[in-house]
Amino acid sequence: MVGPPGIGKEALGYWFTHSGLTQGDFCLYVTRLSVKEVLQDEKGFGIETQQRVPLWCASDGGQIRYDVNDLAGLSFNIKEVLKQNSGRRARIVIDAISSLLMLNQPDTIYRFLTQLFSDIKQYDAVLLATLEEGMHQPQVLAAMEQLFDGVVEMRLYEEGLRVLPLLGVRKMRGSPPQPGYFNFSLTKNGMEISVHVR
Amino acid sequence: MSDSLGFLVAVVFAEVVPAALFFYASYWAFSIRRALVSRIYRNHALLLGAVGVLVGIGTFLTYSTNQVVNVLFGVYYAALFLVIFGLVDSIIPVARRSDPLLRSIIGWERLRIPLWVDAFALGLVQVADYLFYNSFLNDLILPVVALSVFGVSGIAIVIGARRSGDPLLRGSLKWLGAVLVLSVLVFVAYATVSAIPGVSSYDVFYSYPALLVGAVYIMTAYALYKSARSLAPVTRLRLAEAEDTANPPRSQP
Repeated sequence: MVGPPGIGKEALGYWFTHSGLTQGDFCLYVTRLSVKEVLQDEKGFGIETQQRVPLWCASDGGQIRYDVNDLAGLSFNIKEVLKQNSGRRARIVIDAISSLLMLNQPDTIYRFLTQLFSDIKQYDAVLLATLEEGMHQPQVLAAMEQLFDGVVEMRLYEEGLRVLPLLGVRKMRGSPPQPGYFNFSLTKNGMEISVHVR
Repeated sequence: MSDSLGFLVAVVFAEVVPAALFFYASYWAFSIRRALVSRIYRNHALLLGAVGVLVGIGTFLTYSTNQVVNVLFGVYYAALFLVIFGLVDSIIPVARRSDPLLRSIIGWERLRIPLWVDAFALGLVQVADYLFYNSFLNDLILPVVALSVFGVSGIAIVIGARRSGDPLLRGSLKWLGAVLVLSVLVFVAYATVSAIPGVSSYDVFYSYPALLVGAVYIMTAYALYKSARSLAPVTRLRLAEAEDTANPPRSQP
């Protein structure tokens, strides 16, 4: 998920996790925020967090501590929890790639993700990551996009005097190209998408 | 010095045009707010828009010898101070989140509560000052309270902007800084015009001398508009579509 801050990438991550938990999947949420902050955000989106919660890898309050300076530890922890839940479908959300890119050389993050993906592919797992638009060099963004099987872009567009949040699928492995844009909105039931017609 | 043409020119260029620009800046801030979903970013846009609306209204405030109108002026300035502080309070969480290390900005989470109390006190002092002018309130209490609220706020914003990894937020804050500097210049312009021999209080607002203030107001409104437009990257849909047609989305085999 690529887009500017505040557009709803994290919300999609929350709903992705929530939906997985509802279906009985194992869910891991990796964030640089504290669990308290994420739960507060989720509450703001109307997501029920009382009964089902993912395994947290967070800067504070999670089962696994997220340390921005310990990429090896992060990779090890993700692999370990996947190993422990190897019989289940897994969903992983990483909401920290942008900060990792700002604090490390892009090559380091590229290698870290390449290794992580090859490990994750041994399991029945899906990884969703968020990347902040405008915080990285275009070549860094392009390199990151190459790593992923799918890239969904959320952006604000100006149409006359209106500002529209639109979603576009830049690429998706196994699917034909999907030109055009989609309107999206976050409701109490999740994200609702419809084809944007001008 | 005043004539009907001077009156018209002053009203149009020192009040109507700047107010329209401030409202236009607010319109963009509110539009961007509607398009965003995250609470902290929506709050930031909302309060930036609210500042634009209040400052836009302020361009029509001139002077009065009526006590009731003066109290309303006091209420207006109290509301403006509170909304400006609300804007600062909405910027700090955004700036913190854009810091890759997610550092607390001068312990804002704890500091904000006494500062809100301080901001309310500033509002009350402002109203009291208009209600019964007192040199002790005006010369000592008001500057001290205002300095404590906005001095700390200014430091927090500068630290937040320096730590932020988001160039867009830094850009928006730079334009907001320009708004603050130009707002001070508005008062300087008023003082300068008032000091010109032969210029009455009426002329300052309703004659040619008002054009100087109007020019600074217009620059302030432009800076606020730029700050609002920098809240989030907004692309023109037509251009994006053309780009899309030229480069259809890639898909891996």
